[in-house]
Amino acid sequence: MIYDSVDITKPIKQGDIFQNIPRVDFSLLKIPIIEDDSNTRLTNWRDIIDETGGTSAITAIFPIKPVNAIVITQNCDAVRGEYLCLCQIDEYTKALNLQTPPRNPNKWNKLIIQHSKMNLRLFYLPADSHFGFENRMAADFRVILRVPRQELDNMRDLRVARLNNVGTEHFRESLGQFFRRYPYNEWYPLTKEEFNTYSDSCPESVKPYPWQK
Amino acid sequence: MKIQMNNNRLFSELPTETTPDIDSVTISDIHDGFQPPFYRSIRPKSSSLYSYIGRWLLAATASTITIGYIDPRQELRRSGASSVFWSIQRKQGLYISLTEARRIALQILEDTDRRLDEERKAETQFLLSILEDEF
Repeated sequence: MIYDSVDITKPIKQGDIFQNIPRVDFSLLKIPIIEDDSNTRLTNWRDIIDETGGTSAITAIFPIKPVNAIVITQNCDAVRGEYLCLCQIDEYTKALNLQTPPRNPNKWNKLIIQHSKMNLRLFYLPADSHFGFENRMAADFRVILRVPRQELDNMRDLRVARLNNVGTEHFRESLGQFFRRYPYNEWYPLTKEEFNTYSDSCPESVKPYPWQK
Repeated sequence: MKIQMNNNRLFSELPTETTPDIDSVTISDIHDGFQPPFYRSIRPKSSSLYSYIGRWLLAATASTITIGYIDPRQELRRSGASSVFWSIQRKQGLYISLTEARRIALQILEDTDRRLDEERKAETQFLLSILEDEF
């Protein structure tokens, strides 16, 4: 498919796929911190700022989950930057929350192509058992992980594959397109009736323009 | 020690007949109960002049002064008293066991995954609702 195997001696590049990259999760509202006397206190970020003046670090307990991820840092930065950025990879059906996956190639084809055009957040990664990808996957450009570059460089055995040239070109373009977008209100040219139907189906609340009232 | 009080321009601008000779007045003289001619010679006319100049000075000061609020906590942080100040700060939050902290961390992990799924689900449903419609 669209993957290449990569020798462990090769440096890390954009489009390299890793397994078991740590994802640190935290909440600003619930932060269990460890104090100097080893006591554990549950607090929140606002109070921590008030207590420390925002000038010193605290020690806290956060969960770390291993996830699959793909390198998004561009190649020049990937050889000299202090950190590398990766995007989390999930199963495609899970990322789309599909209860019933398409049953034939024609439906898969339509789903993949349509979502590639409309859902820029997800970059489709096909299954390939040769690399251990038993299921279709998707890189989520909104879930970004940051890891120390040199330390990951010493764990290149976690790298399972690399996008081939065609895959890399599409990945690079999709990534650039996602972060280059300008926000705009797509409902602005709708008539009042059209806006009402749009508003009903939109997950967020949207306000009509004066000409739509 | 005697400190010589010097005349200044403000007083020198007063009319000569009301200007007292204060060059020779010293602090020790005042302490000794001596009332210098400076205080005795203030007349209503010169008092009005003082008031006039004073008003101008006040207006000029009020119009040019920079008014700012300095957070004393910020200043204290930069001072040697910083550690003392913060040591008496009341700590917010609730003391918990390490086991409870671990449980909360795992709860945060679950919440993160759940919210991520819900967000993706909402977006996908919205996109699919557009795709599935027949034109």
